[in-house]
Amino acid sequence: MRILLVEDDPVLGPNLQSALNKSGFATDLSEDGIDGEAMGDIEPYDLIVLDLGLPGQSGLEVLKNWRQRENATPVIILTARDAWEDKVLGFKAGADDYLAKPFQTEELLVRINAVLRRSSGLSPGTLNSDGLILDESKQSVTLKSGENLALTGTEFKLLRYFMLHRGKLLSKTTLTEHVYQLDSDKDSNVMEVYVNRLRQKLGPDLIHTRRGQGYVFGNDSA
Amino acid sequence: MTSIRSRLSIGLTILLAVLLLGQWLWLTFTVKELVEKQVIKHLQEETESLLANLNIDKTGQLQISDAQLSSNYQRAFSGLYFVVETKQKTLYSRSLWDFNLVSQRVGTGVKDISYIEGPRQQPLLAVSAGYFKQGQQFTITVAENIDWMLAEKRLLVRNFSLVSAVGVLLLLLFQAGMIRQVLRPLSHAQRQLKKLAIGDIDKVDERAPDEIRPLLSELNRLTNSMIIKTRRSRQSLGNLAHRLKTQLTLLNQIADKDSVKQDPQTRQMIYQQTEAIRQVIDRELKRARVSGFTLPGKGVNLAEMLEQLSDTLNLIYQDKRLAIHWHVDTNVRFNGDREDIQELLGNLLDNACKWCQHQVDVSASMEEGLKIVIDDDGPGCEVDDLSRLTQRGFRADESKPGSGLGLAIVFDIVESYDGKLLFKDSDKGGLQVTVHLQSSLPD
Repeated sequence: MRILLVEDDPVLGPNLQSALNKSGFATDLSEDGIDGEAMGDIEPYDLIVLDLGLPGQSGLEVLKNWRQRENATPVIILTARDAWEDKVLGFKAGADDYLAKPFQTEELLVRINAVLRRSSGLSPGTLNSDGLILDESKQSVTLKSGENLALTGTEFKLLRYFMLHRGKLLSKTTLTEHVYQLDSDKDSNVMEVYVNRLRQKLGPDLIHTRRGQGYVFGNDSA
Repeated sequence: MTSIRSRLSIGLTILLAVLLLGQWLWLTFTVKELVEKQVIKHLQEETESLLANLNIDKTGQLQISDAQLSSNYQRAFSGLYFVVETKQKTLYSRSLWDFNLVSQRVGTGVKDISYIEGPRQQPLLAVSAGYFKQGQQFTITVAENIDWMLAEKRLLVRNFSLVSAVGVLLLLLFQAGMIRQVLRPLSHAQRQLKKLAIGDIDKVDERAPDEIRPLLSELNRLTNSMIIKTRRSRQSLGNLAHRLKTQLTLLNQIADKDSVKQDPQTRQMIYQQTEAIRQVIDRELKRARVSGFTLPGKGVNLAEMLEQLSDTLNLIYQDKRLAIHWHVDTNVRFNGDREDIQELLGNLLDNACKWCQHQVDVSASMEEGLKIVIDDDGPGCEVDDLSRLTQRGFRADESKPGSGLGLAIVFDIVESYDGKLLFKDSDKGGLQVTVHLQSSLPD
């Protein structure tokens, strides 16, 4: 899952970025409204966390501009102004959720997960599909047999993306784009390695290869 | 009597009345004087021509040669009479017939004017003059019926009164029109002030006569500076909150550090403290933001506001599938601050949405100000808590997660609008909240 974090505070921004990275979200940080807006339009983010009090251009403007260009990436607004006036304006501009400062990182993670589920058309709660239960806080997976397996960071990111996009054809490029953040070395061939590792852990039937196109996740999608 | 219009009207009316009364008195007096003088002059001439035609024989008999005198002395009760008196004899004109005209005897060279009653109750003006002729001293009195003169005077007075009355009426109308014309800029300013109060305009029209323009300019300046000050203080309060809360978020993140994570008690304490500080900030900042009726309020469109709020709440409580129904009577008007009423409705609706199963009903109507009723179908409130909710002391209980702070702010807003807040069990099973607010500044 790739997340764009737009936050101007020189301490809070990087802190949040590393917290999100640790939780298995490939997170890019932008520190002002103008760069942030451009990044949100160019990169295929799964979700954007947007602070409203930004230099250059207010978060609300950025959000309005995205929605005007039909950029439908889910957006969670962070703001210190939690008057109803601001909430109404935020949701009217097209926000998907709203988190008032100060918040705890866990709270933000809960909101991010909920919005991601909703945008994938899934019900809120623990992520489970095809007999697998993904524990997002521990970054581990429970198999049908009840066996609990720890996952590496990239494995976790990959599996979560698969589970949120069950039954959909996902190319190696798409997977790379949504698993790695902007400044990392992107070699789509590495994806094959990780897919194979997942197959070893979860069993061979869950991830199907479509030659020359990519992968499809799910039991019945063969 | 504080109205300039009535002061001017009454002053001018009194002046007009005094003027007209004086004129009436002067005119009637002058006319009487003038006519009387004419009559007296004529009567005096008559006495002289009588004197010229008077003869006294040796026996002392008085004789008048009629030929050169007015025939009116011959015709009975004609209205013109004479009496000539000596010490021994009195001669009456034929026109007196059998009437005994009482006359005054005066000395030679003396003239006397009197009003007497003549035959058939004729009002007479009489001139008596004393003469000395042929060794005899006598008095000649000539009297004339002045009925015609009195009638003429009455007619004149009546006509004059009539014309005066019409004149006064016209003048009063003209005066009222003129006063209205002169005071029109004031009425205009008055209407503008009313519009300003209900928020139809945000500054008054300064086009007015020199006398009141400075007043209007000053009013505009004050209003404007108040708006700017409020906006500026709201902005800096907002900035302060933003900075403080960002710092608090950082504190929370320090609690997320691995070294702290191993000590859950410390971590929890940090969270509790940041939350406590947040509540203090929110409570105080929001209280400072409540403006009440200090500014000329724009008429708030409640229907639009409720629509936006229910859209927002539907998104916040997406997983709950809310059914928020709202109804605003067409005559509902609220002229307070937009943010105040939004904060009030937002907090109350948020509470209702938090506790309800699916349904929240809102209605707004005008009943001694603005009345808003919010119903939900949630679990409601224990009777004990219900009565405590309305107690002002309940505000102290802000530590309760969720509802405390919002309700405290609602109390602040209701208080600043001189309003009332009532809680009771709803027909829908949950809680019913009723808010009464003054809908505009008292006049």
